[in-house]
Amino acid sequence: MGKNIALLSDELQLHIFVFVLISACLEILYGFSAFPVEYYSKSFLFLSIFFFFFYAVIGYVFDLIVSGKVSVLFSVLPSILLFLLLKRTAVAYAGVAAIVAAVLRLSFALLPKRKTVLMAGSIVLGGICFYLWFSNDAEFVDGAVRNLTYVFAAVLILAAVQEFFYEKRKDGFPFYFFVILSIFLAVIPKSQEPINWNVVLDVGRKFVESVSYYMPDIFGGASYNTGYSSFNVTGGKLHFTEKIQISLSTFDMPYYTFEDENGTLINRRKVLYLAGGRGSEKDQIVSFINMLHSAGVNKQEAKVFSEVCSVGVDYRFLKTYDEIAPINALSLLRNEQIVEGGKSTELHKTGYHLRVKYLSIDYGNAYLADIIRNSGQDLGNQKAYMSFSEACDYFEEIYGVELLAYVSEEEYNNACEKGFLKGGRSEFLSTGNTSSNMQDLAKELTENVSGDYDKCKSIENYLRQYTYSTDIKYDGEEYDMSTPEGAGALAEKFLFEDGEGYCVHFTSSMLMLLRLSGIPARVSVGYRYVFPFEKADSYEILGKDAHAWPEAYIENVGWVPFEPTSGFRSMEENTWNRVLQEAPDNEKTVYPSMQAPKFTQGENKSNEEDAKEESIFIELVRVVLPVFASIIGLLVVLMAGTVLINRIVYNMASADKKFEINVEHIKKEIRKKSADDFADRGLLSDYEKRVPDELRDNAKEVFGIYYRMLYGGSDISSVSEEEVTKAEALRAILSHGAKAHTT
Amino acid sequence: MKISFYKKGVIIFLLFLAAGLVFSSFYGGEVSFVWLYSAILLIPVSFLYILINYKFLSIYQEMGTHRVLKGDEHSFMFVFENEGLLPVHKMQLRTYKDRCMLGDVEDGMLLSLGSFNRKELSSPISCKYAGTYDVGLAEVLFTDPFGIFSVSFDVPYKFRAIVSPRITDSGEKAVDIENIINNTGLKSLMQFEDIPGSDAREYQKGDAVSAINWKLSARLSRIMVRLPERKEKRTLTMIMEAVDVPESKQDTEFLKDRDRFLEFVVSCAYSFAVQGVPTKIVYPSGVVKEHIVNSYESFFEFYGTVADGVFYGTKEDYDKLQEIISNRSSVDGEETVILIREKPSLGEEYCAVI
Repeated sequence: MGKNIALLSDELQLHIFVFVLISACLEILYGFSAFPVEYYSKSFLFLSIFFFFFYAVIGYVFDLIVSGKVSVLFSVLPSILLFLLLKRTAVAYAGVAAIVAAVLRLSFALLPKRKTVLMAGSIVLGGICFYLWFSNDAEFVDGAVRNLTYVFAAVLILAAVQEFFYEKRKDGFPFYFFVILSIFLAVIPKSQEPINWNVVLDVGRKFVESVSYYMPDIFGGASYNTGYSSFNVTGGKLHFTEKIQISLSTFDMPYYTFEDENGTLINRRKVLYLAGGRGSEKDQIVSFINMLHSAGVNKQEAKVFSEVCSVGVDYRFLKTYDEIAPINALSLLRNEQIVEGGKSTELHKTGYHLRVKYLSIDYGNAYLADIIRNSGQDLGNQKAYMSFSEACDYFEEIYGVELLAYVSEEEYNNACEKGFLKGGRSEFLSTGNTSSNMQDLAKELTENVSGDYDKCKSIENYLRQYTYSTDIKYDGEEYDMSTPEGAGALAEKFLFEDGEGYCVHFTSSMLMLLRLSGIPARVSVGYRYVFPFEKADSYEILGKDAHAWPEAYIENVGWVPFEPTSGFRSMEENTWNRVLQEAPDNEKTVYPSMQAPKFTQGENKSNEEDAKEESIFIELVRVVLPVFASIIGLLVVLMAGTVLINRIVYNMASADKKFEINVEHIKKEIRKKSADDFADRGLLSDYEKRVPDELRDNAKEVFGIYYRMLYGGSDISSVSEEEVTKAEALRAILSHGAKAHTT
Repeated sequence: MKISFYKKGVIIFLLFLAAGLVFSSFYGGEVSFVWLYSAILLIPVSFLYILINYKFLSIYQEMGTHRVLKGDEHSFMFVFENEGLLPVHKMQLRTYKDRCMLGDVEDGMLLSLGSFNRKELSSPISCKYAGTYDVGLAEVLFTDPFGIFSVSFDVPYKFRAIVSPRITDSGEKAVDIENIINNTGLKSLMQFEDIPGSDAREYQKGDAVSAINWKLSARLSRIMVRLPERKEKRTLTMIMEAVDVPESKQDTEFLKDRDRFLEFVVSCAYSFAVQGVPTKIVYPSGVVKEHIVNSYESFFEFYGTVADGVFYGTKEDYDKLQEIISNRSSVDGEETVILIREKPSLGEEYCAVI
C-alpha cells in the first residue's frame, strides 16, 4: 500500500504540473487570432485534466498485467475513440481535450529523468505564468482558474526549490505537504487590490491620539498644531493633525446637485462652517428673516439660498467649554434639553453630543448677494420690523417650521428693540494702534466703493490674492486674535512683511481692514468642513479642518461671513447654484393603455430544456459505453496478449531458459501462498522450507537442478527436457491449489 | 515537545515574508497574495504536518533482557511504524548517547518512512553506567521542509535498563579492615562464633555428634559433649548514603556518581564476603533496609538488587537514613561503621569510618 501512496503523490504532482502547463498554453495561444475561442474555457481545461486522470487510472489497472511503457501506451488508446465519438457532438472540444491529455500522458511516461524535468520545468512554468501576468495582465480564463494556476505554480516552485536547494536534488520533502499547502492557498480569498496600509496607519494613529488625548500637551514650540482652539495663536508654522475632533451625523445628502450650462448634472459638496462659543444665534436669525421680509422674498426665492437643516454634533478628541455648532444655529439640544449660550460651565469632552437645528445660507448666491447689498445700502429708512406673529407666519411660510420653537416672543422683541449687534458697534470697530500702511490700504480698497457689502467684497477679493502657506517662520510671540492688538500685529506681519500665511493671517487682516473701513467685524473660530461625495452615517471633522474666518456686520442684514483665505474656495465658488424654478404644469399626461401579448415562452422553454437534457444523456451514453467497452477490450487484449507472448517466448526458449522461467514461477507461487511475508535473500532454501510437505522432495530436486544449472559450469550438461517437465509439473501443482507452509 | 528555530532558516523565511509583503503592497490579485499567504502558512502547515506525522508514528524499542551488566553488549531493537497517510521525511533519532553505546544506530541518524510503512532496526548496545535508567531512543526530531524550525518529541515508550555494576577491586584498599582497626584502635562489635570449649556435659538429644568428646566419654562410660565457647568475630556496618534526586533530574552526572557509588559498594561488599567478614549493609531501597553479607550467596543476593534497589520512597526515608548516620558511630567501640557517600560535600570524604 505504501508503494501505491507514493505513486499517488507522484501522480498528484504530475497532474498539478499538467494543469498549470495547459493553463499557460491556453493563455499564450489565446493571443493568436486563429485560436478557437471555445478552447479558451474552464471546461476545456478541466476536461483535459479529467482525461489525464482517466488515463492514469487505466494505466494503473493495465500495469497490474503488463508493466512499463506498454501499459501507458495502451492506456491512452481510448483517446482516439473518444475523439472520434466526441467530435460530432456539441462538445467537440472535449475530443480535442482527450487527445491533448493523451499526448501529455504519453510524453511524461516516455520522458527520461522525469523527476528532474518536472523540477526544472516547474520553475520555468512558474516564470512563464508570472511573465504572462506582468506583460499581458493575463486572465487565465477566469478568476477560479487563475487562482488555481497561481496556487499550483507557487507550490510547484516551492517543491522544486526545496528539492533542489535543501535536499540537494535527492529525495525531496513529500509532495503531500505541498498539496495541503495548496488547499489552504486555494480557499483563502485574495484581494484584487494591493494591501491597504492606511487601515493599519489609522489604527496606529487612533491609538496615539487616544493616548495623547489623556495626556497633557507638554510640547509646545515653534509649530502650531491645527485644531479647535481659542483665539490665542502663534501664527507660526502650521502642523496639520489628523485627530478626529468632531463627528457629524445627518440624514441630508452631502452634496448639492445642479445643471451646468451644458445641462450636465454636477454634484457639489456641501461646505459647513461651525463656530464655537456662540450657541443659538437668535438675533442673527431675526435680523435675517426681517431682511428677507423687507426684500419681499417668498418661499421659492428663499429656498434658492437658504434651508433649515439638522445635524448631530459629537465631540471626539476635544476638550472645550464652548458649544460648537454650525453658524446661524436655531437651537442646540442636549438630551432633549435646550442649551442656552455659547459657553458652558462644564468642560465638554469626548462623548458630548448636541442636536443642532440651523439655517443653512448660501452666501455665495448672487440673488442673496443682491438682497444683502441692497439692504445694507438702504440705511436711510428705519426699517419696520415684523411683529412676532408676523415673523412666525412668515418663517413658517418660507421654511415650514415654527419660529416659536427656536425664538420666544420676548427674545424676538428684545432683539428687534435693542439691535442685533450685541455689545455695541464700538467693540467691533476697535482697531487699536494700526500703522499708517494699514490705514492707507483700507482707504485705498474702499474709498471708491459704495455700500458696506461691496466694501467687504473688495477687501476679500484683495486679500485672496495673497499666497496661502502654512510654513510661516515663528517669531516667538503668541497673539490673541480677539483683541485689536493681536489681530493687528498678525495683519501687519502678513500684509507688509511675509505676504503669505494661512486663515489666521487672512482673517486678522480682513478684520482690521473692515474695522478701519468703519464696518463692524469679528473673528469666528471653529471648523470649515467639506462633506465627501459619499453619504455616510457620520462624518469626521479632523484637527486640520479647524478654521478662522471674518464676519462683517451689515446693517439691516446681520453678521455675514466671508472667506478671504486664498487656500479655500470662496463663498461664490461654493454656491449651491440653485435657480428659481417655474412652477410645474399641473396637466396630467395620459398614456394609452397597451395590450400586452400573451406570454407563453415559459412552456416552450421548459420543453427545450427537457429536450436538451435528454440529448445530453443520450450523447453521454453514446460516448461512455463505447469507451468503457474499448477499455474492457484492451484489458482483454493485454491479458491475452501477455499470456500469448509469454507462451511464445517460453516455447521458443532453450531448456535452460524454460527451466529458469519455471523456477521463477514456482518461487512466485510459493511467495503468494506463504502466510508470512519473507524477504528474498536469494536462497532457494527459504522457499523450500515453505513448500508443502508432500511436494518438498520435488522442490528440492528442482532447486538442485537449478543450482546445478547456475553454478555447474560448462562441464556439466545443460538441463534436459525431462528435468524441464519436472519443473513444469511442480509449477502446475503449486498454481492449482497446494498451500505453502510457514516456517 | 520542544521547538527550536534555526537562525539561517528564520532569516531566509523573514526575507521571503518581507518580499511577499512588499509585492502585495504594490500589486493585488492572486499572483502576489499567493506568495504572501505561502509565506504566512509555511510555518503553521509544516507544524500541522509534523503533528500528524507524530500522531501516526509508533515507536517500540526493546532489548532481550532488562537486567544487564555494565559494559556488556546486548542486542537492541527499534521498530518504527507509520500508520498514517503522510510520509515521514528524515526524522532524526536522538539516542541516550551519554549513557549507552549503540553500534548501528547513531545519534542523529535520519530515518524516512513511507505511508503505512514499517521499519525495524537492530543494533548492539552496551550501557556505560551501573544503575537504573532509560536507554536506547530518547527523542525524535522533525524538521520543516525549509529548515526554519524543528520539533522534538519524547519517545512515548522508553526502555528502562537495570545495569548491574561490575565487581571490581575499587573499594578494596579503601576498606581494609586491619588498617581501619589499627588506625582507629577500635574493636568490632562482639559477635561470636562457636568453637569447641573446655567445659563438658552429658550428651543430650539434639547435640551435634561433632561436639562429642570421645576421650572423656570413654573415661566416664557415658557420652559427654563439649560445651562451645564464644569467639570474638570481626563485624562491620556499611551505610550507603545515596543522594535523593528525583527521576526527572537524573542526568549524566548523576549516573556517573551512581555508577561509581554502586561499583564501590559492590566492590567493598565482595571484598568482605571473600574475607569472611560479615558485613551489615544499610541502604535505602524505598525504605531503609539492612542486608547482611557474610557469604557468596548473600553477596549475590545483595548484588542482584543493588542496581535498581537504591532509592528513597519518601523524604521521611531519607531523613531516617540521615538519623541513622548521625546516631551510629564507631567512637564508643561497639562497631565499625563505614559511611559511603554517593556525593560528598566539600570537606567530606567519599568513604569514611564514622
